[in-house]
Amino acid sequence: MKEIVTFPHCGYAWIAAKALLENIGFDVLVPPPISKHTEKLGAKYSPTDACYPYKLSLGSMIESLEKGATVIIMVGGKKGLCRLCYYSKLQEITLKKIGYKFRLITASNPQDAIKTLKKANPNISLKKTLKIIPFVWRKIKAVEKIEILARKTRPYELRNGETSKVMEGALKEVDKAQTLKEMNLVNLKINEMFKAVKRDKKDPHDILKVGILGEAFCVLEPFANKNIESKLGEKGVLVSQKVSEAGWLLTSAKLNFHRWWIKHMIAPQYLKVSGGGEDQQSIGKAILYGKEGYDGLILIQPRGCMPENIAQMFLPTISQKYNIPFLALSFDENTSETAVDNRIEAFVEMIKRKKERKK
Amino acid sequence: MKKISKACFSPRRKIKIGLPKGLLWYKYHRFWEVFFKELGAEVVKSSDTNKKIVEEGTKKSVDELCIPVKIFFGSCLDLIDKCDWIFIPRYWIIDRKSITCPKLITLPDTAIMIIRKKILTTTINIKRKPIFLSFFFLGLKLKKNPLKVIQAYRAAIRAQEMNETYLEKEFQKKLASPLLTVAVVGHEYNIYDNYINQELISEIEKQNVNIITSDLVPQSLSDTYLKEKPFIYWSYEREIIGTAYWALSAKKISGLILISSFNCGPDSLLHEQLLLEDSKKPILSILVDESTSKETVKTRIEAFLEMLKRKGQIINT
Repeated sequence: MKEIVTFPHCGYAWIAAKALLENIGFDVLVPPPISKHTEKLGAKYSPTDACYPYKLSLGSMIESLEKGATVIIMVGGKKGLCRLCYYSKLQEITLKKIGYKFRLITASNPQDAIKTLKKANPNISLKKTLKIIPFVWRKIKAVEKIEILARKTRPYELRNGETSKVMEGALKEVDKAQTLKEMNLVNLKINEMFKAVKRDKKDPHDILKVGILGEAFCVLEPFANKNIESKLGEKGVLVSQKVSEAGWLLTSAKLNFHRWWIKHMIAPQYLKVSGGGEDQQSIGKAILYGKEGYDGLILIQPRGCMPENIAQMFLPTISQKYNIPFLALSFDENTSETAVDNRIEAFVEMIKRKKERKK
Repeated sequence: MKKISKACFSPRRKIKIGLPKGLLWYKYHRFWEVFFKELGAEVVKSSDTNKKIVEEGTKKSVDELCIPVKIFFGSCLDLIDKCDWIFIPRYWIIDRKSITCPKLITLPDTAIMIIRKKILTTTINIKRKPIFLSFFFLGLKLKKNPLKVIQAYRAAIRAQEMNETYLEKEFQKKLASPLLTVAVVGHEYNIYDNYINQELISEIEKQNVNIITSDLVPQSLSDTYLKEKPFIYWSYEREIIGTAYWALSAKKISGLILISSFNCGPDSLLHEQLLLEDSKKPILSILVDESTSKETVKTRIEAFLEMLKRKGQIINT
């Protein structure tokens, strides 16, 4: 029987995952983008107290299984600190109880995933896999570049929404590319596409700079954070956000020096031992943004997230020390988008007035 | 952050060390109390959990934390003027394959944000050093005599072992009881804190029902029931969920009551796993938060026990 491989939807990670799995030789089913329907499905079959990423990833898996997927690849491992590594274990039990027939493969890094897939399908050759890694890496870096360019362009755009449209187009181009040569052309095209966005003449010193901290899934997936990056950009705010798929891959290969530096050199002033997730990273980034003179910080977390609640306990002290206001937002399936919009608007107004008073 | 400095020891009066009555106090207070008393300190306990402690703890920390942690912070605030040092250990790794809980691992660091001074701490991580050394270096800060510190440690171990023997005997006694038996499973800081459990234990005992709590079941027994399940990597969860699986298959137990607090991370996923089991045994899941009333808990317990009694009668006739 033909095996159809899928994975839960998270931000724009699907572009690289699809490229990797298709080139290895699998039939890939790209999970549908996360929507209200995904959220409802996930919340229906999850415990009330479970974290938001658990519910969204469960909903995404159900949608893929309904479309005919037979193998699910999920992030996880035998043990961890926060609940993330337990997701796959409970999700498998839940989905099998509903009645779906599938195989779940967990991996804490891509090397593990490929090893497990090779056991399942011996036709995969390790040589072929190694050959396509530069191509897949090029795609991951292209997605990262698109996100960074979008954040830099949005505060200056003349017409609200133009940058987001260009971003969508650029991501489609990256997905369409099938070879390294095509990727090189796409990289040049991306720069042009963003340069073509009509800009307003604003003084870069007047632009507000806000740093985004928080849990990885909610920061990467626009549905989970109610499109906060677009909203802030359209208000003229330059957003800085450092979590990315490229960073995650470097971490799993033990090559992410920035992350190591924050964990061992910056965060231990406040939090000596990590409780899991991104807690030390959030604290470290808050300190670095404070030192660099950013105008505000926004902490994005799922409701009840243990590591982020721990990080939140240190923010008032850091905020006072570096004179940088912060806003903590919690997301789950009951969060009202209007409430989030109101809070963001009030926060942006507050930091604008603070900056004007400074002059 | 300043390093925690050595305790200033005045020979005229004993040092007062405060133990906040929350979280791991319920498990280890016998050990800690004997250890500090043998070293010449006076041990002070915080007040029993009340509304003021919960409110103060919530105000100074984050709203979304689980209630046992808020009670712990409130108890620390309650102790500030009552002692010289507050003892907040970092129980990190107590078993080679698992970790305790993110909130327990970061407890000394988060507590400093609330109390701002005078915390006495030690890190328990058996992968870095044996538990004896963690307490040995702590004891040296209070008494510069290594022999006395070793004696205090041994006395504390004896107190802990005596408690374990008592729990084993209680377990055998409860297993031999002819009454209807239920298992109450949850962390000790949920089961035995009267503010959280809303006096659940006494309500059940009033109905003439025999209770086996999860702390009575020996770890060797609960571990066997976890072998075929997905690996649980939180140490204290392994103890209580293993007990729950034992209770689901033990003939003696007629029903299982799960008690947990709102926003407890590990419990939220693991209790769901228990409820999805294909077991014919009735399970009652009680989720407690600051606004749970005693009446709600009492009504649910009464209805559950009534159902168990009627089920028992139908099976007997």
